[in-house]
Amino acid sequence: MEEQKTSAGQGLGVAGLVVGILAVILALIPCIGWIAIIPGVIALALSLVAFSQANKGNGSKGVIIGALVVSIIATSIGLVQIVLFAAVTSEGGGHIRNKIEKVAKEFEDEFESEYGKDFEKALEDVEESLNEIDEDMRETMEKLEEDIELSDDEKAAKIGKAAGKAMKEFMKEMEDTTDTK
Amino acid sequence: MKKIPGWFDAYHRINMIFAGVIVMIFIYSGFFSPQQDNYPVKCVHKEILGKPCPSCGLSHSFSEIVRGNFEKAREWNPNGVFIFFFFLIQLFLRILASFVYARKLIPARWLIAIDISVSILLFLYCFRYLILFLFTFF
Repeated sequence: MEEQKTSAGQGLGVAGLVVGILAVILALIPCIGWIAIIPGVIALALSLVAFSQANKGNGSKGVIIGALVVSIIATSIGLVQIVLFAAVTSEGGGHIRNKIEKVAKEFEDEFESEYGKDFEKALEDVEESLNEIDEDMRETMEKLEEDIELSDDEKAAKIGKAAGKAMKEFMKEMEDTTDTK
Repeated sequence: MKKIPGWFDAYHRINMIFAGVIVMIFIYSGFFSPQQDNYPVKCVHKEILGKPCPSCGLSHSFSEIVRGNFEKAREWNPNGVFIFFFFLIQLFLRILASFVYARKLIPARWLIAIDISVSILLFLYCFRYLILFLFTFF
């Protein structure tokens, strides 16, 4: 007659299975996939201890084998994520940096041939113009604050006029700045 | 000697633990809000590569779903709704499976086989974009 199975290792097996399934779910979420290594290894350890307990105590192994399989899958996915991510970061990082530098150089060259002007100098001009616009805006705002005593309608009209004027000045400045040909 | 345990005694415990974990996920989603943006987990991909991954915005998406804002949830992460419903369906499945198991409505082996198959298929469907993303590394 076949010997009756016991509950040896069942508690740890269930714990290993639950932690293992959670680790698989974690491993498949790219943002936090690498974290799955921790529960994956814990689940693997729990399952191995449960397996040895079940072996010694003639326990049922269904849950424990399930837990082992799931925790191995989770740990593998987590490990693969870490290794591949590290590879992408080291190789891809250099590649991306080179690409950015190349694009920046191409842009500078094109700018110079198109506008006959150094890109750095053009940037300084733009900055200067923006400072001027900033000054004008500040003056306008101060004027508006002085008119704070006026009635609501008058205020609205003045604000509208001032905003329109400021916008016109801004557009003109922008046109002057970009029209360097 | 103790009586036979096997899959069947463990099944209840597993169902209850998973139901508890899913409820905790929902509580987490309700506790943190996209307005305050106080989520403790940051995306490693975005931090290092500067590019978002398919799971970016998932927590925000879950929080919006918990608050009933499905459109906003879709904006945060288009996969968020699927993944949220995976957990929601799982919550009901755990309770239902435990009920069916306790009442012995169908044989336990059948129940577990159906449960595992349905859960795996549902998981593959709802997490498909995240799973496929892993293969972009190769």
